[in-house]
Amino acid sequence: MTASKSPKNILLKSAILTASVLALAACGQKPPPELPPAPTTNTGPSTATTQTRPVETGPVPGSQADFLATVSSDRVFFDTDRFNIDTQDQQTLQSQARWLSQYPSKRIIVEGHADERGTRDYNLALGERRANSAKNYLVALGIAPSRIQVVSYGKERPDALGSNEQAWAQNRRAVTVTVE
Amino acid sequence: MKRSEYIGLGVATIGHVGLFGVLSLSILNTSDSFERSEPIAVTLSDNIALADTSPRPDAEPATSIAPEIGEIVPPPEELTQPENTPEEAETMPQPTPARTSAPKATAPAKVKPKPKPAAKKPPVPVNRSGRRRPDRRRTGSRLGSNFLDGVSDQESISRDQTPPAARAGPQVQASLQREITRKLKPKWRAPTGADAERLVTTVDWRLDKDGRVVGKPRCTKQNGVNASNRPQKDLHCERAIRAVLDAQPFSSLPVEYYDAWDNISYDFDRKL
Amino acid sequence: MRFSILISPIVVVALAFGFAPGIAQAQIEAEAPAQDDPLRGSVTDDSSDNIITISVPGLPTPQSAQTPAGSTDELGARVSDVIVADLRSSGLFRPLGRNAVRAISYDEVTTPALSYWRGRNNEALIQGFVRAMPDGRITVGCYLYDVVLGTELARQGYVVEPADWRRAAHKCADSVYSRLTGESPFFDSRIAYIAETGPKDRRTKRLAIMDSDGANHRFITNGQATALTPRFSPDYQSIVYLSFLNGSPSIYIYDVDSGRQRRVFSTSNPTFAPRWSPDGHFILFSMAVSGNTDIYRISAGGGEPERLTNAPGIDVGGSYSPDGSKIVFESDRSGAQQIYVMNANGSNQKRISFGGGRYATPEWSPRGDLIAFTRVSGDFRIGTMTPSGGNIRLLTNSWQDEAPTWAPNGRLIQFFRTARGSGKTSIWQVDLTGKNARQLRTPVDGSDPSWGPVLP
Repeated sequence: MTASKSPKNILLKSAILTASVLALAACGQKPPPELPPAPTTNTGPSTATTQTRPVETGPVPGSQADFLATVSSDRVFFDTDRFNIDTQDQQTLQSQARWLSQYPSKRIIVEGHADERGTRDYNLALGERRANSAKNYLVALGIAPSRIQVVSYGKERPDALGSNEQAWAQNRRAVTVTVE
Repeated sequence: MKRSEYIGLGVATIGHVGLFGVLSLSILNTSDSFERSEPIAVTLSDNIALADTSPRPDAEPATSIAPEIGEIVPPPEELTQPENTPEEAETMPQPTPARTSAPKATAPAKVKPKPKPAAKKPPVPVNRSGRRRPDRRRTGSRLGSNFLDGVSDQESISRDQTPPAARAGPQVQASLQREITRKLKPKWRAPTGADAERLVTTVDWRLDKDGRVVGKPRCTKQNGVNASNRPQKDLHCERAIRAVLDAQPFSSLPVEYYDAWDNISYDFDRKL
Repeated sequence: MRFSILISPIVVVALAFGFAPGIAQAQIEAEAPAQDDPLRGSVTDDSSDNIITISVPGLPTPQSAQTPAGSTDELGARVSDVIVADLRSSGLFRPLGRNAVRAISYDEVTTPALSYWRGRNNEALIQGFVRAMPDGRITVGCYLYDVVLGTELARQGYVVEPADWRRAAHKCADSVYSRLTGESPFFDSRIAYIAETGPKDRRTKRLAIMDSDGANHRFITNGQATALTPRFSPDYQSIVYLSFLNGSPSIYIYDVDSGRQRRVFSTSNPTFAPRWSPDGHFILFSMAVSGNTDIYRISAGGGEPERLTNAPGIDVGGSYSPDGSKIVFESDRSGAQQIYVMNANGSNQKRISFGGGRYATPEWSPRGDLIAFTRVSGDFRIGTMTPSGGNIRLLTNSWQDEAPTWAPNGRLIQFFRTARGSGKTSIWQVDLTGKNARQLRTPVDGSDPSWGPVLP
């Protein structure tokens, strides 16, 4: 489910992405033009896994488990050396924003990660950049910045253990974790 | 001029002949006591290297040009004759010392001969004595080498006179270079380090007829020094000098071309 | 967990007639007036390696005596072993230790049996002794001879506490290395690094230190918080490093003697990539603020940091030139990681790397002549360039070599290598010719090595 960002559509994506990123970078708090509708729209296509599940069945409302069950994904992915939020990331973050507005007292930590194919110090900075991108997008969606903490793990906490493109794509991520 | 010279030469010749006699006797004695076994191996290898030179098996013989002296009492020009002498030299190595004195200074020449038998050893450069003796034994009789050391001091004089001979043509020179390089190569180990391979050190040294270093080799030039290899600069020079000292004696160089190799200037470098 | 590392200075004593002459005789001399044209030629050393064979018999003792570290006999043997290991590790020597050569008597130390050693097919000889002193300390004597020429090249004596016998051995190896290679010494130094254990996704990373040869190894942190990128202060009294102690990356200074540590700068922003100034008065570090990372300088004692870069993008990994006047750092302001140099106050920032690929983790050599870096172009390789960016030379060729650190003499570089797949790390070192790469033995996996200066 996560490896959707295969290198082949990089060009196409980067075109789209750079647009939205530029917007993001420029406006910080103010929501980008194309975003507002998002919250209301149906979270259709993105990742199939969690959507079908009815919210009511599972975990305690407002818990991390609930968060995981509700949102389309707890993480967004990045291209090599990039930190922009593409359309798929936007949908993911929108679903997170919906959950967050549902539980306004909840706070989150966004963890930024890099793959192992970068130097250690640089990856710490890159992870921070990625987490910050995700945070900025959430803020743009109306989530109070004070509710969002950012931490970078650089390449110190890989999720996928392999040393190949697939694993690296999976590790270039920003993960949202709720603070219990 | 001529008169005095002739007189001097005459005196010298007489003195030398006398000396020669004495020396050859003493040499016979000493030679028994030492080497004999070792020398052969070394000289053989030397011969192989220098195809151009005389066929003799012993390099040492060449140095003993004494016979010439006997014959060549006349003016310097006649020194060209050495080429004839080789054969004689083979048989009678020792005479050599006498010859050197012949060219000019008569009195000093006489004086020297006497010391040679016993006292000559000291004059040899102090440091090397310990190490080189073994080498000497290989090359030939001990006495012979001692003589040469003493002789060498004066050789500069004789050299001046010999140039006219112009024996060392390009081919001979190339051959001499090959021989010297062959001797140096196994001893030359450049220091390592970043860019150390860019260093080139020129070392100058002088040889006596025995192929032994006279005085101390000197580094006269260095190229390729940069910030990275500066730490190796001095070491490069030191090692090059060490190679020269370790490679001596250059005993396979033919004495008839001594003028061509009495004074050597070599570049030491490194290829990775 | 607390312990102290006392660095007692070694007393260096002149033996007998004092120090041996250096390389003084090797000076270039003015050309003497030529009497005639010399025979000219050249000779090239094209041997594949220039390894120096050197004999190191055990160090005898004039009189066997007990010390807290063992008898002087045993110490003599062990000192010899350490010298052998040091020299071998440099890759420039083929040492013949006491298992390969005969033992020597105490009387022989100053009068080597040169004729014997000359026949052993070696070029140099190290002899020495260990002697107990009335005050409880020991003297370790160290003599270096050129076997071929029969000359003494160096002699030194070291007075140390018996427990510090290894340092005396390192000092002896240093003097030999120095005399025979022309380089500055480096054996008597320490290394800080990150000891790694555990699976790839949950690595435990602990701060650890050891001698340059791996001896006297100690873990400093217990691994509960991930530790990264340590750097010894120039005086070895403290270690600056990154820790996730409070959840996000922050820089701490650990005091070696007291075992205490403190945050260098309290902020909610991540701080990382700490480096000492050569005088130990300042610390450079990077701080990320809202996705933009810049380099700051702060007094080692604390206070307000001074921002040195302000370009948009990631500026990270500053490293001072040895004179403290300049800083080399990496920045992706051009779109990818490249190396830049600026003045110590942040002015005059200039890019110096223009080759293919990305250039990262610049480290200025303690000699000042080179900058080591990691080149990222597919694989990660360690290389060097001049401070103006010229003469790029890649020294390693593996899947992922990263984070160079210089030996105190500026002639060797350590780095860490990550294995593809397993993510296991190991510490390696290589010399500036790219030869003699070898792995350092560490008790567990190791990364982020940081070489300290030569001990006093």
